[in-house]
Amino acid sequence: MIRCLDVTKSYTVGDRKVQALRGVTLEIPTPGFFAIMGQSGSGKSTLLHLLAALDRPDSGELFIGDKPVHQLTDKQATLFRRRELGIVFQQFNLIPTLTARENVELPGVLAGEDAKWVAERSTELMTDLGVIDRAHHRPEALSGGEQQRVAIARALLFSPRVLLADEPTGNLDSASSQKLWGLLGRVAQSHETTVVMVTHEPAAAAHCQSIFVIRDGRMTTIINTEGLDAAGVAARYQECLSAS
Amino acid sequence: MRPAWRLAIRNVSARRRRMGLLGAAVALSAALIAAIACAMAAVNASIGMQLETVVGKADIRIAAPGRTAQVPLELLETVKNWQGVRLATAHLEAEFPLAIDAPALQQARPASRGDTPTGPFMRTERTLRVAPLVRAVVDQAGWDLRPVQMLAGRLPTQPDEIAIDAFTASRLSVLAQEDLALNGIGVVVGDPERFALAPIPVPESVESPSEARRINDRQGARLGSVVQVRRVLAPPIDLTIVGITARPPLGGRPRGFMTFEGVSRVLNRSGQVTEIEILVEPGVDPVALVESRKAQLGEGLLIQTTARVTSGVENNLRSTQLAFILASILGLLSASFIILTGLNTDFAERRRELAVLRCIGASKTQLAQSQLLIGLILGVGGAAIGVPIGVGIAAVISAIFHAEIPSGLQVPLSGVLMSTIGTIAAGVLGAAWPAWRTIRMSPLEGLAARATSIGGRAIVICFIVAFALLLTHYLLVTLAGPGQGQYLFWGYVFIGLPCLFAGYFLMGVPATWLVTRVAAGPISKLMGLPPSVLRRSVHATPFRFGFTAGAMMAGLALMVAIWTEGGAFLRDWLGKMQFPDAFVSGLILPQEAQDKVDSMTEYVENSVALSVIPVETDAFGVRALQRYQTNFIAFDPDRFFTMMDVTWVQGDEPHAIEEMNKGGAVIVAREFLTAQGLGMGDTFKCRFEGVEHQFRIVGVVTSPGLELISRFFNIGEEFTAQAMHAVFGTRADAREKLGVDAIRVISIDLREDVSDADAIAALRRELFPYGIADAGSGRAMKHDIVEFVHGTLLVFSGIAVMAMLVACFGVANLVVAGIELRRFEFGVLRAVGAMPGLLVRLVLGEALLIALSASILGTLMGIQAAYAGTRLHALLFGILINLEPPVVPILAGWGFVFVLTLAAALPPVRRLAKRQPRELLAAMRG
Repeated sequence: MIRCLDVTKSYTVGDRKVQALRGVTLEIPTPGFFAIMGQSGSGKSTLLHLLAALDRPDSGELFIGDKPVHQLTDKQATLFRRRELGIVFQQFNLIPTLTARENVELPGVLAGEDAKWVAERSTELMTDLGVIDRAHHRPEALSGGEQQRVAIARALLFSPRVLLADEPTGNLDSASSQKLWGLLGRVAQSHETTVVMVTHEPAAAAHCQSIFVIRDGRMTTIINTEGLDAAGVAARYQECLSAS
Repeated sequence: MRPAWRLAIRNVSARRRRMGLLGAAVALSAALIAAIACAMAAVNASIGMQLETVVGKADIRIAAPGRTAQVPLELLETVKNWQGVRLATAHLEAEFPLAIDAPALQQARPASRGDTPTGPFMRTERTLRVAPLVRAVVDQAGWDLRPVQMLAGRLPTQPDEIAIDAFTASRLSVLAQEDLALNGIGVVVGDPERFALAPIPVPESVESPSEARRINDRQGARLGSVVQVRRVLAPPIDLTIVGITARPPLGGRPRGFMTFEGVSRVLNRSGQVTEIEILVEPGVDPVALVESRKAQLGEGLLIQTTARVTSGVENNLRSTQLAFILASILGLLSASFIILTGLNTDFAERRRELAVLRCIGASKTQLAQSQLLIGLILGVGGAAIGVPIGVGIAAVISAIFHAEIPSGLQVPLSGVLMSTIGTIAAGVLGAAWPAWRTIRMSPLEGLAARATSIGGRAIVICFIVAFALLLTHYLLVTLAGPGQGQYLFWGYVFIGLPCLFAGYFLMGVPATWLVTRVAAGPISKLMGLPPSVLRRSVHATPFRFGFTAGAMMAGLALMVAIWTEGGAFLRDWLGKMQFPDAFVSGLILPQEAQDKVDSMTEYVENSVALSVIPVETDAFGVRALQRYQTNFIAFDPDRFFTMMDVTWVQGDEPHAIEEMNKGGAVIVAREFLTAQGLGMGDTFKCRFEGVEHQFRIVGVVTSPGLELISRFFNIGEEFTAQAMHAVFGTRADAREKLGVDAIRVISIDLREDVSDADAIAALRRELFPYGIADAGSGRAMKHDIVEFVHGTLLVFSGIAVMAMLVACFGVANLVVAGIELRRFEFGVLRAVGAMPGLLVRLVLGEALLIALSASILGTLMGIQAAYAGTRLHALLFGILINLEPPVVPILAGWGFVFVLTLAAALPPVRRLAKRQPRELLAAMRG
């Protein structure tokens, strides 16, 4: 279970104070594939960063399982991200000077794991995600979709409980995006991982089992997508935005 | 630590070109330091060899005070029986004239003066002369204590035999006489082994100049030749040359070696020696032995440890070591700054990458460690490549200058360690700031938008800190007064110099910002760039550009400083010296020599005899490092002031002469006033052979350059007793108080209507029988000193250019990094229609701004450093010089900076021009 209890967070931009989250409370059951949706500036990426222990809330609590993410020290947060969490960004996921395989193995190198195990695990993941043929290529030689799959493989190296994806298809074409959403759903199922995807696209959210809608820093609605296609999700999402 | 290593190695191998550039800068710094260390060690080892030859291995010596007195030989047997004495021996030294008549080929002199000789070379006879310092030992132990390196033949065993060194042999050679300069120092002795070859027959005439020269080169004193001792009022004595020895390392006067009986016969003296030398038993304290035997010897003899003689040398060696350490630290700091700038740029480029690493579980420590390890890799790699190259350079220099540096290549462990460890430390130090930034960077910060502008506040803070450092340097050197030279020196070493260096380096940031603000517009117009692009591009990263300009400025600053100070030294100190027209010098010149000079009225207007006695004083130098003596120049005041042109700073001539004739009074050179505040009415204190003396100061004058003449003749040996400046007193005082009456120099005013060459030749010819060492022209000597200083300035300029070359690699790295960072930006420019040439001109425009900033900073730093140098000269050595930055060397330095900076930027710029827009835009991938 991923829980957020009355989480607030603000930033100072220039001489302006921006309240990104205004008391967000939510519970995400695990495992599964979930989306956090909102318009640009709604606070969804901020929430994701807090869940990833990349930042600390001004107030409130965040738990992933029984781990109080909001209280982790920097060292604890680092180890948490290394072994128990996976993160995929919209772009610049991969280290440009490393090959695809080296990128996947990177968390294992950082953890000082046995090289043989790391190699075997990376082969298994890259095969599963269909990028094993590109193992020795650098990111600049990979397509956008291939890069994101490599990023997902890296995120799954230690079989984390949670995989957070921040607009992972933002730079991809629709065909590649569809494939990636399908892939994330399959990962959630086959690896028993909770995948939480931040997106502003209804088509992406339609692949998820639930959608948490954030507006102006507050959690407003939870949309159950069962039986809804992309158009249906889009319509429900618009209703949520209009109603608030 | 393993993950940090793997991250570091991966980063280095992924950016080979850039890391290679940084590594090359570090390697070059290491090479420079190693080369200087080896060169200094070789020079010091050569000095050490000279010490053995000149001063010997003895622990204690016994001599008679003053040069004319001698030690009774019978004392040697007594000394040998002293407790604690392992070995005792004695030697007799004297200077006397040698001559040889040799055939030579010479062209007929033209009828008109000034025309070049023409026609065939005809056989003629020449008399070749020299007055070497001849040494004789009483037993074999004498040669053991002062080894002599034989080139050919053997040491003499009979009274009518002599071995001469290569310098003496060259002075007794026909060619050397032809090449002999007016200053009388003589030629550099190359290929000394040729003196072992017998002379070849001389035909009546030859046509070819080269044939004449070849034959003349084989004429004169050789192994087996007979030379004569020719003196006034004494029959000539024939001596057979049985050996040719090596010239003492680092020069010195001509030398010869005879048996004790032989020298005694020449001097018409027996049972007397110049010095008894003692080697003590292991474990015996020489100082204690000296104290215990002083009373036994009485006042007529002087016993002292030779440490008193060599301590000056060791102090001088120590001071050169300090100079080397300081120069090395500055060189390594420079390398550190280059690495800092390079790795900082690398950090900026990799911010997002580092943020992603943090996001996926890399700890701050791991990333910081990887940065430090990159610095370590650069340092180790730089040392591994640079130190052997530096040793190689030193080996080449030692081979080329093997005559001047006879010790050959020396590889000092301390110097190699300094270079190696220093380089590694420079690498790690340079990586420290980027490592710190890595620790402080939060992952979210790194993931944020790539372009973050530097606030003006950071630049202002940089300016304030830099200004404070430079002000500290300025106040430190300005506020010190006379008598505070010691504090100034150490304060400068530990505070002033680091403040200067760090201050100007930091000032690079605001300076580059300002220069860009002013010059970017005109440069943009000149290079056909859109307005503001160039300015904004540099202002976006002022620290990167500023620190790179800072790294580039160091070499120019060195060049400006040495030429400003060196030029001022030549102009204001040496240039103002009024050297005598001519002079003769010798170890002990008889009064008859002076009388003879006075009789040569067809050449001589006036003359005065001088005693030159080095006395110990604490007036000059850094006491912890160097002990400079000063010259007590003794003369007849009436004659002296008649012919010498001195300027009175305090006092006047009539009063000074009156007081000096009363006794116990001296005139001091103005350097005493400048350095110590000693002037009219003060007391001058000095020590001579262990006894303190005091004199009233009755005047302060500018120096007539006499002390330089004395040093010039003793060149190569002065390091045993370096004397600075002079005090002037009477010969009566020198005789009564110091016990010295020997004439060393006769200063001569020539007639206006005679040429220097004719006068010097006549003086040599006529005075040779009186035992002169040599005669020379004051003008020629001054010219030679000026040439020597110019040569030294050129050598240092070479080092400055090397420093700029090192910085070039930093510039190249910056340009490459800048291009990588802005690949996408360049791709967008190309995509919207910019030609490749625009990108080239933009990057070159940035390089021009770096060069301009570096040139301005380097000039200012050089001038400030030269100002500090003038203060140090004034307070440590009393030398007053005015700052006038020389335009030509500065412009040359600017030229080097611009050329090297643009040359460093060209290769990456050319590569950029060839890249297609799609390739540049692909920078966003990954």
